[in-house]
Amino acid sequence: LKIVKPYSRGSREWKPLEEFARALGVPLETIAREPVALAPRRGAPYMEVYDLAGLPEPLREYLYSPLTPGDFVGILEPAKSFKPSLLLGALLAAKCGLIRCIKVTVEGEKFFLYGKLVYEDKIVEWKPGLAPVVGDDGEFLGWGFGREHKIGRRRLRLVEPVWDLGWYLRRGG
Amino acid sequence: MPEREYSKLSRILALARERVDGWIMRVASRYGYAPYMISRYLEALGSRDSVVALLEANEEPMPETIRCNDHLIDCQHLKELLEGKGYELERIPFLPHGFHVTRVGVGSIGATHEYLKGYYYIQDPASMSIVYSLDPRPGETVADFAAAPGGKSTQILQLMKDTGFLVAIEKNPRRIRSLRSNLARMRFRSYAIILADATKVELPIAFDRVLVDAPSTGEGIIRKDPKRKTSRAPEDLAHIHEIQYAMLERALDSVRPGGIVVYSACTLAPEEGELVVDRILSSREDVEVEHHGLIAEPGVVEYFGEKLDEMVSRCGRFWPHVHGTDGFFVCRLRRVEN
Repeated sequence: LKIVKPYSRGSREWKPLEEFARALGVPLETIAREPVALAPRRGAPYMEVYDLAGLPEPLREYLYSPLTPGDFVGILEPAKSFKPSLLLGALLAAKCGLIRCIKVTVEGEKFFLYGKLVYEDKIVEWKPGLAPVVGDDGEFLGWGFGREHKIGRRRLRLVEPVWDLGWYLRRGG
Repeated sequence: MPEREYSKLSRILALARERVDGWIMRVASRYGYAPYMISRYLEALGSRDSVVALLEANEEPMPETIRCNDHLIDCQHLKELLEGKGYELERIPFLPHGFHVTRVGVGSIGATHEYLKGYYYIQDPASMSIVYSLDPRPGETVADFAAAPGGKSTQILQLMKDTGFLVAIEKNPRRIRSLRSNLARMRFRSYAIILADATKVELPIAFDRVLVDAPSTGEGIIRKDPKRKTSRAPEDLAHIHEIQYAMLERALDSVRPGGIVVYSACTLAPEEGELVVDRILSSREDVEVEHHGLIAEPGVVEYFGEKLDEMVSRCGRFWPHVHGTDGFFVCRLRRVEN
């Protein structure tokens, strides 16, 4: 790893992360107290964002060699978008009373974890846009995107999986 | 004896080839093994009956076992959840978080929602027991010297209650994918993954404990990989022994005085177990072997006429025909003030 970019407030390349925090209604510190972006390999079209807050001091000197230095927060495509990690989702889901989350039924959970759309009657709580999705028991299931679809006069609410826990299985271990 | 004069291994491997009699040839042919392996089993086990019992046990498929992640879920609750889906689980008496899957429900045990949520890890009982011997405590600084795919790293963090810090070292970039995935799936945070060769790694930390679950020739997992009966030559044992020795040496240099190193390998080969430890004991003054605290059988102290350091008897071996597990070697070493 040769490219390390510490967070700089308001800079163009960190804008997607700031926008993500704003859309979720949380301060950036809730996402990461000490964000840093690392290139996963030379020439990669994206950066991986980590929170270094928990990394012991002596290991910070070795920031070029650790592959996962601290909490993996998500993927940053400079000046385009920020894709939050499953770990971040699990941490944020614990704050579901404070931030808005999507909640699905037990049956909805099955659909969601198999990467399928979840429809109206399988949704307990819904919000538009990107949000952590939790099951009926409040357990984090992944990131979903709340959409409204208009069919005639009726508005159908649905949740589209963005990055669900089923990924651990589908990616092959 | 200085390390450079360690010559027991070559003498032993030469004898393993030479001491092949008619009975060994017949048994090797019946069970499909390279004859030198049978001669080594006879030497380590001491009787023909035990050798046959081992070979028979190696013909049986491994039962599925899981380790409950009590960092995320109460183990009894996990049992109830899975039993509600048609699985049947039985506690493994000598493993606090271990369960045998005695009946499979709908689909594979590796494809349930509970698995995706990180509530458990599929792991052999012998492999699971190694981390209990390491006994990591909350708040400590620990290293795992061959961390992928993450079975033992996740278990270390589980026992540390995700406090302190784990440095997970892995040499193979491809295997880091599964390591990262398992650590994230089981929702641990107090770790860093470092891409490095554990035989050479130098970190600015004196660890409280280090786990060296060394790469091996796989002689302990013939039940999963029957090709191993013939796929390796004695030279492979000599080659892997050098890597294992270098990793253990490095690990001992990395712990603080008083710190613990657990050396393990999924192997039945004394060349990859007792001989590695014996070589360490013959080359260093600052190491003691402690009892591993597991149900394992004592280490082999005499092999093809070579007497090993008495302390090696405190190491442990899991035998498939005795414990019903994979074959495994474990040894708990303490670095003492020199």
